[in-house]
Amino acid sequence: MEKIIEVKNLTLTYPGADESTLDALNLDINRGEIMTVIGKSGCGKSTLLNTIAGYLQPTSGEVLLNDEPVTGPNWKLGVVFQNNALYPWLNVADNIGFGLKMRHFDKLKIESRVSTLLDQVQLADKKNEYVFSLSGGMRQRVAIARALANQPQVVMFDESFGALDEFTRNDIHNVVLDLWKSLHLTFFIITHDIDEAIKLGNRIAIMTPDKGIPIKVIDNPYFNIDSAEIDAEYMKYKNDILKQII
Amino acid sequence: MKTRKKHYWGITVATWLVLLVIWQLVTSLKITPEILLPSPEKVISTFVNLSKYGYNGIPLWYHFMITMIRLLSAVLLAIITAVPLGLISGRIKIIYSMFDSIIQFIRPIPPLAYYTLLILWVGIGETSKVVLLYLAAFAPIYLACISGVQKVNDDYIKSAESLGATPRQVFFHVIFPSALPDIFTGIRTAVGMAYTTVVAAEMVAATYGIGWMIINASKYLKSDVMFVGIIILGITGVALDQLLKVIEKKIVFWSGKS
Repeated sequence: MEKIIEVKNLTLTYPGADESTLDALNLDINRGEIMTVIGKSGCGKSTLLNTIAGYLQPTSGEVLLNDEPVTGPNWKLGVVFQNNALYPWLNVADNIGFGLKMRHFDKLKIESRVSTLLDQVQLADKKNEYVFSLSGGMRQRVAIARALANQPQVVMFDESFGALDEFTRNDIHNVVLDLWKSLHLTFFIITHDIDEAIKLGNRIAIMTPDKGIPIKVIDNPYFNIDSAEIDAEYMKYKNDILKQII
Repeated sequence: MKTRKKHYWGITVATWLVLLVIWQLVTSLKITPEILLPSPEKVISTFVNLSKYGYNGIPLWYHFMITMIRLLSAVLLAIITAVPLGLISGRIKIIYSMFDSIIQFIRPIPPLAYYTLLILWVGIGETSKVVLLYLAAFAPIYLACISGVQKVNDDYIKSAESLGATPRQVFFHVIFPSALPDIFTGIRTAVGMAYTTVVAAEMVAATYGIGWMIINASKYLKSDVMFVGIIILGITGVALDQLLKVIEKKIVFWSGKS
């Protein structure tokens, strides 16, 4: 598989902290896969995403996107935040087209791409509504569409579905999987929910408390599993992951 | 939630009516001399007379307009200067370090303390009055802008950066609109501050303005004229604040909803 992102010997220590949050971490993300990252609270999952996205500069080591170092945030690395970070002063269409406008795309191109994305996230009828009038699930769909509008090479989700109720979360999982299938993008999903990590990830990166092997990547035979298919084998697989996290 | 926001207009109107009745009773029963508390009828008739014949040879509307022009030009000037400076100070530590201590130093000083100096520096005309009101209005807007910038959701900025926005675009398309609700709060406070300073501004070396009219009337114990001036200032103050609230609701329609 062709690597799209390489994390090489990444160490990150926050200013004033005694210990590093990430310590000599190595990780490859393949083009076109969905990698989910699971780990217990405070293990550095979000720090890892923030470093890959370019928001944080590594203390040592590097992050490469297509063999080029990531030196700061850029449109090729889309991010969907947990609280969606949509702009309440813009309507749904303007939120989705925000990145394209910033990049000086012409109006017709923006309208056409926004319209396609609205159809893909099934929100065409909400185009002119303000985001504060939408439900949590709808807002998260807008946030996904906004991140996709720039046609980034990787879309990262920072515990983006954690605040949603179970029904809405399942709905969003299906939207994410449908988009992944149709757009052939690379998704990198941070989550604290093991079932979510198993359902969404082609591969699962487990952040362990073991300083020697801070991250362990496993293949996932249960990718896109239907809840009706959950059996004893699945539970054993899930428990094995859980044991490695704690 | 709806119950908390509900305003009992009936109670508000009834309270004002009770105050009016008390005022009427106190003056009808001559509990206090008219020179200290003129009757409502006297105040109304004085208002009618002032509207017809003016005060000191100058029409009442002119006094009012002059006061409003002084007030609004000072507030406008404060908005034009304090908003950009406050936004930049909230974002850039060097600028903040340069200006904040100066503004914090000036902010608590009562305007009258430096008014005479202002007159000596910029002259006895309109400039000193507008500058005094401007200084009163500047700090609330400046401080509100800093607070607005510092409160901007970090994820708003991060997401704009990831969507390809340049630092300049982040400032104008994310930070500025995010800070708008605070800017409006600052403007409303500034109008209030300038408004409370307007009488002081018209106290010295003025020959017109509602504030001057009140001060001048006080010298001749014309309490009915003072009452008219005070009531005009009170009603105008409430009206200005309501107008700002309406504008705020239109422009920062998302405030409190996100």
